[in-house]
Amino acid sequence: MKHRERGLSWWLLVAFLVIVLGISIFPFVFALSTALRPRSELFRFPPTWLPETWAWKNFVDVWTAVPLLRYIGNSVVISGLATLFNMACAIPAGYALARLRFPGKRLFRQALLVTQMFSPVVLVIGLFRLMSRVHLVDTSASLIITYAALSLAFSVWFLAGYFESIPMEIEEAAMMDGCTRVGALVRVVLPMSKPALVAALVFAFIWGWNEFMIALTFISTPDKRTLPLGIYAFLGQYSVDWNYLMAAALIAGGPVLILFLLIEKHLVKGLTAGAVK
Amino acid sequence: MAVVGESDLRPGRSSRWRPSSLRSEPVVGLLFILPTVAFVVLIVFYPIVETALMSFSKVNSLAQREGFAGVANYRELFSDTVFLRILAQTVGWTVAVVGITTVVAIPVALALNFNFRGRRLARALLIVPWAASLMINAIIWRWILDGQYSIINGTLMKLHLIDQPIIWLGSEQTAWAAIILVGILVSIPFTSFSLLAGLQSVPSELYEAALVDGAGFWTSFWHITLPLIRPVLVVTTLLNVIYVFNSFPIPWVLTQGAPAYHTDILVTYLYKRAFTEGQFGPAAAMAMLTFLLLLAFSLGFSHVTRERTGVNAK
Repeated sequence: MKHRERGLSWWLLVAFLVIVLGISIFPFVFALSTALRPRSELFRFPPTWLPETWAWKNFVDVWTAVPLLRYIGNSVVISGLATLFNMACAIPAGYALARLRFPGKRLFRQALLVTQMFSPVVLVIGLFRLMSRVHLVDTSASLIITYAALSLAFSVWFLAGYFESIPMEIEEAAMMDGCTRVGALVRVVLPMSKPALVAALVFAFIWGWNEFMIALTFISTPDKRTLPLGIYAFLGQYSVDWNYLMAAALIAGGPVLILFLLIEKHLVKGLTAGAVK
Repeated sequence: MAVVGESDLRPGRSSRWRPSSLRSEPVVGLLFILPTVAFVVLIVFYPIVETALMSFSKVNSLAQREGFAGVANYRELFSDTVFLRILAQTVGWTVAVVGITTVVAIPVALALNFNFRGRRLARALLIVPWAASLMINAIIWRWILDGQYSIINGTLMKLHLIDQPIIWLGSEQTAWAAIILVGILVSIPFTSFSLLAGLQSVPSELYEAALVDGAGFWTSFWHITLPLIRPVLVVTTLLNVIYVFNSFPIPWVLTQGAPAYHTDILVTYLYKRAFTEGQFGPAAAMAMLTFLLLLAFSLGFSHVTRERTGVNAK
């Protein structure tokens, strides 16, 4: 379709795209316009699209208005450790699926697919019971373990798919030279899989960074809140400072947007990979 | 699990593993998947078994089981008119969001597949609502629709489309419309990108051949593009149904089901029954039904589409 001349249908479709993009981006533009207003300009009628006075200072003040740094710190630690556990499990498991023969391989593959069917909401009651049984309710550990596990099926699949695409001869040559299986994985396969490892890592991290419902269930101490939870709690206050809230929301979303753009190519392939097989 | 593998090792061999030899492959394989299996059993399978047990038990407000209760929890659910209404609402919400999203995403993907200046920028912009979590999308929309002084009301009044402000999240109909709109907007990016990936795999020779035969854009769309991207469309729809059905933060942040459970979906109602009202028994039963519903849907969906593809192949 790329060599097609620009007929009426071309213009219609591009115009449609522009409209959809406009509507999709509008909330974020308006969030930015709100984040840059002084409090006095929040509830004026008629409302304005742009601030009269540009309160750039809001992006500085928000860090003291909300314990944003603490929430971000909690989220970095929780998502970071969850990602670490996730990768430590997913790399060998993905490799095993791609390369090794072992009993129960089919079962393992199917079990992974089934875990995708259990949405977090379906699991949350049982998870809550599990965490209260081992006295982990209201701890970061409960979230770390849960996030690592719930993003695991995706990572295993994604990595297995990538490992399969690496020619087996390279590993065989390494193993002929006296490398062990583990040695071949660490010294040959992993260095060749850097893009996939980065994508899986980023994906697992974003999963934890954005997760809301499980954190809402497990965490009750304000100091232990993750970023989405902290932003949500801000909403519950008697009089909401929407300018700060919007600034916090944009600060939370910014890093994810950059990461998303980094792994754009892998994103879709990975997300649909599990379901196609 | 390792025990099974160990018997494979020949006696007298050095105890050090020789993973490169074929004999020990099952051991290495099992060891490699062991951490993943442990995680999945603990965090996915154990909770679902616990939930299943709860759904057949009397459960106290601390989520502790207190003896067998038969199907009492399920019976309670089906005599609960609120639950039945919410079940219908959930189906309506899922069909509306996934349906409209797909209809919008197809032309968006077609346009993104064109060559034009700013295509990269268009893709980057489209990713924004996807990268921002559901929660952040929902919070921003809550502000946009907030109370009387919202920007939407202001703009509509300036355009003389309405005479007085509408409390969008205050009444059932407008709140539903808002929730569905937000649901669609956050689903468009994934759907479009997924369909775009499908479009890019269609060989361009096919279009060129169609062009030679005098086929217009829409003719080649119906007869070449759509049949070829159908597998991608099927997978995307399936995933969207699962995502949307389970989409907790949008109704939770926008209305929390108000007024009076009229904008709840199954997952928010389930959550409320369990963690606000302490009714873990009926909530567990609801979780099991949700799971079975999605499982039945996925199996049925893949069955039907496989059959259709089979017919087409003949």
